[in-house]
Amino acid sequence: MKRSIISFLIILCASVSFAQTLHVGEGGVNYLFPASQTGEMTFSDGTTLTIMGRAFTLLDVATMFVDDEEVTDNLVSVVYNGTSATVSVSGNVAQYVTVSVSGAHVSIVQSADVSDETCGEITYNLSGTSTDGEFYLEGSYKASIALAGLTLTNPSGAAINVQNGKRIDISVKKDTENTLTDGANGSQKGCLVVKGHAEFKGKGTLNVYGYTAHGIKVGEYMTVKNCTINVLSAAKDGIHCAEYYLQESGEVSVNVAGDDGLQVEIDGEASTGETTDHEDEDSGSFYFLGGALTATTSATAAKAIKAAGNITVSGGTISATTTGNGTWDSDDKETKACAAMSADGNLTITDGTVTLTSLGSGGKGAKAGGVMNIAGGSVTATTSGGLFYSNGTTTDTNYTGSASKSYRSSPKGLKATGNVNITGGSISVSTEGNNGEGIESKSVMTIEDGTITVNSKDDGLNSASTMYLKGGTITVVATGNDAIDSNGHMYVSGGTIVACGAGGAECGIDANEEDGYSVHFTGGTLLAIGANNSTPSESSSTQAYVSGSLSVSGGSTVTLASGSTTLCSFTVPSNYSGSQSGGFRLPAREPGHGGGGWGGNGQNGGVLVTCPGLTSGNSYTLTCGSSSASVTAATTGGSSTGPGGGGGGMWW
Amino acid sequence: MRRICFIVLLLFGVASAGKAQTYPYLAVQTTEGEVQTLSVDGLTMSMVDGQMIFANEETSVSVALASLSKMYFASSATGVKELATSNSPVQVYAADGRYLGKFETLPAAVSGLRSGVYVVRSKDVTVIISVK
Repeated sequence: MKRSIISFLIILCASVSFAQTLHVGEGGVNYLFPASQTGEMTFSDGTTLTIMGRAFTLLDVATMFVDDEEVTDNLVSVVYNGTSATVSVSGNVAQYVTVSVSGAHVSIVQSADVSDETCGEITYNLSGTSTDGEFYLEGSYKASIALAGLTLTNPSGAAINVQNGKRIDISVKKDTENTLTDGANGSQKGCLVVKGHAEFKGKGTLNVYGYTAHGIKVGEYMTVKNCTINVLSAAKDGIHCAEYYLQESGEVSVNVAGDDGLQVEIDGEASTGETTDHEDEDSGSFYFLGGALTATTSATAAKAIKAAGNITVSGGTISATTTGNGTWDSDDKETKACAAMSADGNLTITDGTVTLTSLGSGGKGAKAGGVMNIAGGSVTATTSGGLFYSNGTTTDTNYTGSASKSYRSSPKGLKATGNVNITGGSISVSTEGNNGEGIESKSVMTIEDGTITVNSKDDGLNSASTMYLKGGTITVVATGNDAIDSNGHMYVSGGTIVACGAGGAECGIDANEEDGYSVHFTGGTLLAIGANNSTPSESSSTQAYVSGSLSVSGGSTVTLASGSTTLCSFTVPSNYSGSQSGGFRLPAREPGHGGGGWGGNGQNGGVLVTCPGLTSGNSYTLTCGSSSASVTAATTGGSSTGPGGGGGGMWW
Repeated sequence: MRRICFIVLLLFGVASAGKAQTYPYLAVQTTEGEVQTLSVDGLTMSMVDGQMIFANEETSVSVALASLSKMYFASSATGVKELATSNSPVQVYAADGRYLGKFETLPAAVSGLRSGVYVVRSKDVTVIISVK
């Protein structure tokens, strides 16, 4: 007997080690009150029972029992199961949430009394599956939503709709896959809607199908860390947010046909610009610090990544693709075209791998309304479409005419309305289609460093104003126009440059001499292939150059030597086609042939070379394979310089 | 033997009190101040015909909704210790509600009862005890 008593005691002690929880079921919601927290639960008039500030109408209470279930404070759990949903509310927040359940449609209003001084932040944990359900949340204090294995379709609205203007954490729980789908022809702004600012995190996967509007619509800023987000369909933008978008890590994939892949807009009327730690920032900017982003859109005139402010890439991997053609914008009365990446402000890349592809007519790799700065990383821009034309009634996706610019959109690899500054990185640009320019600045272009390779149909590098080539390794092959075209002065002071123009009237380098500008050589090593390469005309150009005619072909080596000493050597890009451009031979000239010669309009022979160590007036040998020419260096040539003629010209 | 079981019952209450985070009892108080204490093991509450029915693995107690004042979780069976050491007379009922008799004290009642679950009521306290 004593033994059994001892056993009984042991059992008792063990049993009392469990926590007790009072469950109250009302309106399809299970409220869980830990016994340790309830205190006195008061009845009133036999009609209501108040527990932890939450009043229950006794007639509405369906179940009430005690068990030993552990309760996590500040948690609301929603488990979807077909046409129903089970909602559990932790006792300490029961008085702060009003839950309505209709089938699997769950609506929760979070009280305005929620604050750090009351219960603090509430987490809403969503899981389970329903093909006809939703999660709707209202509130005015920050909240967290945990996606813990949720497959939710709402045929009549957003799958998740958070009408709360504060910070909303969306934690995609580790190792879970979550899929949200909304219905077509609804009025919702997205499949996943957050009125406030959304911070996506976690190490799970979220898939989104948006059939009415955006895939993910965030009213304020959006950040991404760790998690995987796949927007697999969207009638409008794949991801649409305001204030700013910041991705620190994680993998985001957007593939849409409706509109832009990822768009960031300014929430207010004016941009705040970037702020310290992005506090209260409303810049419409896109910040990419790390992780991966793949954005693809097939819509016409759409942008894979679009920011009303700046785009800044400082790490990670971005792949942005558009496949649509341009279109006529009847409001602006001009054509609009696609761009893989578009910033109304500045575009800055300091690190990371950025691959930009635009396949439709008029499509651009990247364009910036402000300045484009590339200081590092790897940037690849490819366009394959031709010149887009439309006047609203007639459309041509491979236009060759010269209609007003309002009716045309040219494909371009990289374009900035402001300056283009390249100080590092590896840049590769290819534009295959008609009128496709490589890198264009509507202002000043400066290249200080980096490896830049451009294969373009139209100009390879083009600046509307001055161009500075100070360093880096620049290789340009243009098959239909100038390789490097400055519409202002062109200053070459450093770097290694190979510029292969299209031949004919097109140049390796063109400094817009017809408008009184000139190229200036003060350093650098340059090979320019083209019939009308610009030559210096101002005394500020101090580094001599030579020019001559050679038979040049892709893959060959062009060498400039002084006697047996090689001063510089270039490998002609293998894709350079002599039949299309500079691989011609100019008429032979006799040594010492005087007079105007080729002068005329600053034209010179098919090959121009400048490098350190040249002395004006000295003769050098220019060689390419079996083709060679004896050339005389000059520091200035300009319109009065003719090959082999007086005034320091050259002969061949 | 019965004394031992009663001691066990008291020990249970003491042990429970020592567990600050555990509440094995639910105390229910009426508007008249009467307190009934029930074990929470398997405890369910339901409303039927103006009554709230408290049912656990041992017993079932009905209380008119209109007469309910409050309830709270307790770490010990409220009143057991007090009854065990007081000289107050108690009325004893079987689990099915049958009145079994009046005893001078709770220990006296325990000595005189067979094994089973009983509702013991004093002036303002009602407890449920298990006599082994």
